[in-house]
Amino acid sequence: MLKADVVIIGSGGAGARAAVEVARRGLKPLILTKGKMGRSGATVAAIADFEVDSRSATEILGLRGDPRDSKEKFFEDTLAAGGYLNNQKILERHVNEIPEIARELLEQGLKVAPELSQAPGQSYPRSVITTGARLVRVLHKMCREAKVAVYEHFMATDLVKKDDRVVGVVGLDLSTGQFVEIAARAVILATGGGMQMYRYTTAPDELTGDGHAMAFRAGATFVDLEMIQFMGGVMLAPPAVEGICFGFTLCADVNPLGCWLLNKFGVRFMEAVDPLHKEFVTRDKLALAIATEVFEGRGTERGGVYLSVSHLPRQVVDNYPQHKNVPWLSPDWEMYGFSFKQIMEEAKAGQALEIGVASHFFCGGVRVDENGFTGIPGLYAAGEVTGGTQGGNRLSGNALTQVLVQGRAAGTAAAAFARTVGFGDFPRGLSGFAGRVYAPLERRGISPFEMRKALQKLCWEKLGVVRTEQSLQCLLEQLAAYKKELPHVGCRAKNRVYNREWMEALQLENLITLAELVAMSALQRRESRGVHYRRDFPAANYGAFTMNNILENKEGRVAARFEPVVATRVAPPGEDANHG
Amino acid sequence: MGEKKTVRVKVFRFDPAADREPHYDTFELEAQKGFSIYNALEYIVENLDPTLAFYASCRIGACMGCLARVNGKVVRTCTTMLEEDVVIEPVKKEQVMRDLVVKGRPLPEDILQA
Ligand SMILES: Cc1cc2nc3c(=O)[nH]c(=O)nc-3n(C[C@H](O)[C@H](O)[C@H](O)COP(=O)(O)OP(=O)(O)OC[C@H]3O[C@@H](n4cnc5c(N)ncnc54)[C@H](O)[C@@H]3O)c2cc1C
Ligand code: FES
Repeated sequence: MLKADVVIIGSGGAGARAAVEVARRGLKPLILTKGKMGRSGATVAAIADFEVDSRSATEILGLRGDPRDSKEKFFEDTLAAGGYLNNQKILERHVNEIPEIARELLEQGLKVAPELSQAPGQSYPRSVITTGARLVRVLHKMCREAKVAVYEHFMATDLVKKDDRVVGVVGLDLSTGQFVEIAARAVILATGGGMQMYRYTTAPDELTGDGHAMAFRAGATFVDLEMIQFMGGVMLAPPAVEGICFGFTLCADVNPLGCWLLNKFGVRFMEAVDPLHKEFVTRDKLALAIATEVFEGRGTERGGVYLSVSHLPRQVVDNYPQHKNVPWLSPDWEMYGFSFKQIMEEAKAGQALEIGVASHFFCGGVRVDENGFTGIPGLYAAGEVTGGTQGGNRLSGNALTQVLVQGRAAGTAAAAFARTVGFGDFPRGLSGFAGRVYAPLERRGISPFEMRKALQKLCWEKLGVVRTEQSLQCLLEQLAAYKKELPHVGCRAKNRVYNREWMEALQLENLITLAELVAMSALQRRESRGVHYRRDFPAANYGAFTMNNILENKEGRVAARFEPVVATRVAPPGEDANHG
Repeated sequence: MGEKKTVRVKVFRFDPAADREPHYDTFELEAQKGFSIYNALEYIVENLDPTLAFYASCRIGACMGCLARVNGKVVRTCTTMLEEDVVIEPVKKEQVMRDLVVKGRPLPEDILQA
């Protein structure tokens, strides 16, 4: 058995920042990561910006911003964007602590643009522009200096409890195929979102909701899990560029080309959706409009719409990347290391691009308090796996701010707890956990790859941007059938070392658990708010639903209920807001 | 994007625990336009040989997790298109965990001994 004072599951921004904090408090942290440190998770994939109120960014970080801004205004904007579902205690730490955390990162060498940018929904420029890769590099330097231990290619499969307390983690060492037990005084969950639940996603491969499923099995509570942000305007083909938001850049981002979006009948549907702005709308609006076309049967076979430049003179298209108005697009049509030149040549010749929506960010998640405490002694959580910071929707850049603030907070709280307790009694004979891990390897049966694909398609169709009572019920029925089939999922590959099919089988079980949780949550919120759109209840109902959607594990079954939001500073709107 | 042609993908295979020597396996694939080496590896695992090991994460050229040697040159497999016959090898053959996956960093002693 291995042992560390605080075990952190996940090596993204939240996990890395938490580990540094634990080490600084004189305790031994161990990061477990399914992938490689710095080469897994959404943090490194971000383009990226994080948010700091403009005044602090000016005074503390020395960046060019607008000193009229304040932490209070940053708080209010985030709350309004979140549909007033945010946990205000968490949000207070979010706006108050980021300046100091950012100052340290800059001191440690993080390179950022000298001037702040202003994102939609932010009253002032607050976006500190950098890249995920740079951020991760600095965080890892801090981890190295703090002597943080890292266990790479380790897939955590379960949290281990003794009585009511979490006393460790078990999982699969992918490099040996061995089941490993790790004792800890405290555990921090930092496994990121579960975007792989969907057919199309902007997010990395390993984000399969393992943390959500582990937490559920260990009895954790979830908040507003239905709030999943989708990105509109991503490429659906060809395969290499799937999930890249090139279409959004062309038609709706900072400096659009002026493309038309057409449904499969050739109708320019945005003219009806927003006669004034047409294609030039926000991400959310674009995602909903595209998803509605698809939902109503006017989408392409892949489940998207066409992006056409046929109405434009060729010169206008050729000139577009030359203007250099889009920082991440090269004059030669390169974006993210991909060349879109050929695709644009074909577009000029009349071959439309096929674009659609893709899962992007989990606003809801494991319920924590402002210290990252889950309510289960010994278990903390930070980053995208948690809910509460963003409420019902997220403003650009607010995810990385969340990750950094919560990482530090959870590291602090977990270390303080670990100091007061010994290692718990690690239960003997965890054959149940080990058996569950080895089972798919030992049997033959349904291909986990096939079943994952079917599940992703199903979630995309029934639990995507557009949801109805009927689509959700239908999904839940199908999920029940999948659960029955799970014991028949097996691997053709029998090798133990880095067996992708085996990993897939374990992830599949987690994805099914997550899909059920999200569906139950979406079913219960009979209104539309934030990123949650119920076609059968298309308006927000402030009187009835300005509440947090809570899910609990009641003897293995999902129990749903509502709870009042945590409001310390701003009273959330009630019934009156429905009419005005 | 419908044009298809058959290409040969030759992949380095090695399981240090079981094999004395590395060997190469060759797979024939239909290459389409806009089909990356990463897409090819994923296709092979899901359809032709589930025992093939490779590592990737973001698929969008950002994480550098998918680095491999393609025809002798270290590239990101997710942003490199499959257009012709290729030989795919790990970045560091001496540190292979399995096939194209390179070993992770070693665990510190004090955690192992506990
Ligand atoms: C393409 C893209 C662009 C984005 N751009 C921005 C932006 O500009 N600004 C912004 O604020 N936000 C952005 N976001 C969102 C933001 O990047 C994420 O919300 C944030 O990085 C999440 O950080 P995290 O530490 O919580 O999780 P992640 O960084 O996702 O890390 C999760 C970690 O958990 C590990 N893990 C998962 N399961 C297991 C398991 N079973 N066992 C062990 N380890 C496990 C993974 O290997 C990984 O290391 C973007 C997201 C994407 C996908
Ligand atoms: S998978 Fe991240 S760079 Fe290729």
